[in-house]
Amino acid sequence: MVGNLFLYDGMTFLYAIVVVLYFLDFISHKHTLNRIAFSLLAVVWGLQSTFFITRMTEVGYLPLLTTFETTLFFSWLLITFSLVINYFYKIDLFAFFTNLIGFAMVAVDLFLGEGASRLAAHMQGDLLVLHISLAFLSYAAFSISFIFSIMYLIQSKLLKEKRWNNTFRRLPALDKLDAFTFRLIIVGFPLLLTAMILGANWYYIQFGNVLIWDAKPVVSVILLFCYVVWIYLRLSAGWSGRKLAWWNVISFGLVIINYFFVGQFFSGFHPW
Amino acid sequence: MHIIVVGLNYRSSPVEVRERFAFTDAEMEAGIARLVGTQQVREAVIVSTCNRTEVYAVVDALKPGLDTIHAYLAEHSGLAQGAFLTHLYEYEGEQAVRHLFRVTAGLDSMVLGETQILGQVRSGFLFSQEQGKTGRLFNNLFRRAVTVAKRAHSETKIGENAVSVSYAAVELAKKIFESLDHKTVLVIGAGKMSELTAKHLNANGATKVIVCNRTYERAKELADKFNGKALDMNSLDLALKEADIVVSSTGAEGYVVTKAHVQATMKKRRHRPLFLIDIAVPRDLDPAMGDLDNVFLYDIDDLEGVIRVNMEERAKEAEKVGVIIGEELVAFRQWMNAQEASPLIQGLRQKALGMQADLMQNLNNKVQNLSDKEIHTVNKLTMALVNQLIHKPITEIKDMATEDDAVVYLEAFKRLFGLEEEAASNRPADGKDKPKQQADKPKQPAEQGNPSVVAVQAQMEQTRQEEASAGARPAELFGRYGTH
Repeated sequence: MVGNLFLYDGMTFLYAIVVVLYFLDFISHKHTLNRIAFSLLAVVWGLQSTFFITRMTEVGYLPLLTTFETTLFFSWLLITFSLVINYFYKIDLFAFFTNLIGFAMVAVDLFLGEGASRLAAHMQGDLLVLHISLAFLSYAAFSISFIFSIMYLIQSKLLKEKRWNNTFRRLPALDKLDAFTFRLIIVGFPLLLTAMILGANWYYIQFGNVLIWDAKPVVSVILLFCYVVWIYLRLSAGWSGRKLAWWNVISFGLVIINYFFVGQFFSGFHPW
Repeated sequence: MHIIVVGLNYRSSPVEVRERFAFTDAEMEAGIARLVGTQQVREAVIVSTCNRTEVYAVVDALKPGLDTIHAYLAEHSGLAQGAFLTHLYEYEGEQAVRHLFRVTAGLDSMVLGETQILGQVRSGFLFSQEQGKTGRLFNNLFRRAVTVAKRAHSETKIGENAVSVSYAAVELAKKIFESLDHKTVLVIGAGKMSELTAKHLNANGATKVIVCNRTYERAKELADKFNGKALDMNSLDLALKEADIVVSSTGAEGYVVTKAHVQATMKKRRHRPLFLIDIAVPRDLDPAMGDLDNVFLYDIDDLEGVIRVNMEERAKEAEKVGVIIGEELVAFRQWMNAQEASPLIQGLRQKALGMQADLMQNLNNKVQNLSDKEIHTVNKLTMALVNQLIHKPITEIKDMATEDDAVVYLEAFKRLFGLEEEAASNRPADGKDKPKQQADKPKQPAEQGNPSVVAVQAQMEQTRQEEASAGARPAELFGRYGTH
């Protein structure tokens, strides 16, 4: 366990350096810094994966059950996404924004401490693990679509205000940002839907009824609705541009509320 | 030998002076031949563009070389020397090399970082090379200059940002549309400027072009150049609905397209982004439409703003190019020094072999009745001794010639082996009164006139000798390979 904690601290420390490097690159536009940050990020990803696996062997189940574990999983997903997208599409500044969120997750975990180290046996099961991991995958997809929307809003603001600065130069074209947002929501939406169905299914098997009047599923249904509307507005109502980007930003706000606050304070069942 | 450059450019001289120094191909051919025909100039390249004329030359002595070039320029331009000398800039040695590197990289150009000059320098050089008026030095130098420019453009962003209005428009368009492929360009008003902008957009992938003009004939004329569609002004609504990019430059007094106009079309076109450029003065497009979502409107001042910022970016990148130039300067200096080393090495070899030959002569004179076999053995042994003695200094000086203090080392080498007087006197006298050993290098004096041929000859000779002695001592082969 000590070695494991050391691994975690080392990872956090390194991750902090990555974020600082990306930030410096954001300000002063140094290509070398960007490259160093990217390789360090790959190391952080490796450390997180190792941590994840060692923890799995320790506790004997897929470590996706406590808040600590899921938050870590979330940041791991974000790093994975940012590595992959950065590698294949070379979108400048994207990694910086993504890892601001990713690091925030890791930092939150630091304050949560180790969390509940083990859950009661009846709270385990394959369906549950699937439910949780799919939910987080959808959250990660939504987070990244949110980042693209933010980038869209910044870029369109710069274009409108005719400010030809470094950030403008580095951000990609509007239609590219829009296309990525769309793709990620199209991926995130069915993931969340499936996660919810699996969750209900698991609960039914475990307790014999369907959990409806818990805060978490209620907010999640609203969330699902928000994204359906987003897809509808884009495809059928002919919305585009800033309005659509704002809609996505607000929807993501709900994701955050759902994840951090609803679970912690309002839900009788979902602790995370 | 000195590398010099004499030239004038848009900064040093007014166009009235510059135009007198323009060169046609025929004039350039004659000019290069004239210069190299004189005793002073060994190699010459003339670079002539609308912004500059420069004569690069390798001369034996500085002052006479410069005088020759001045005299030639006076003759070519028909101006008295006094009339243009003040407009000239002159650099020598490393400064000249640095200047050439800066010119080819576009740092000396009116538009910082432009690439045309690279082609112009290169063709000037190739022209001269075809005439056989460049040698070892310029062949290497200009090749390097091209490398500098290529590195500058691939390793820095000096040429990346647009510095003309029409390119700035393309650059902006690419911040809204990732790719211009399959995008439709609407040109309102078939003027020269809009044609140029449309041409750049077209070249960047926007293949569909619609031209809207007051007179249909003119619209048709322009549209045909892009395989596009021509419409008259009444069909403007229709065209706006299809367009992604609008370029407007009519001579109209009022707004040709109003905000309400665009607002109505945006709905019809399902809010696809619309990018508009207004290069007309007075403006054609109502600036209020810029408030609409997904409508991006820029006028000529905005584009000038883009250019201004881009120019600043290029100036920043120019510093990085300076670093590249520094590196290539060092590399060229090392190469130059290595070139200095080879006559010294050859001198040392000749001196050593000469001594050995003298010694054999002496032996023959003093000791009679030696059998051929004995003479052969003594000859072989003394040769081996000589070769072993000079081998290390030769490999060392080759290395040292590429180091920072090469000039000092080369000088020391000269003094240690007493090569000064030879270096001065051996070229013309070389080979005449040398004893037997030199007999198998008969070509040398004949090739005197062409330094590069001599160098190649020396190089081959040297390799041959090294191979011969290496055969005797194969164990050292690897050591020597390392120093090549």
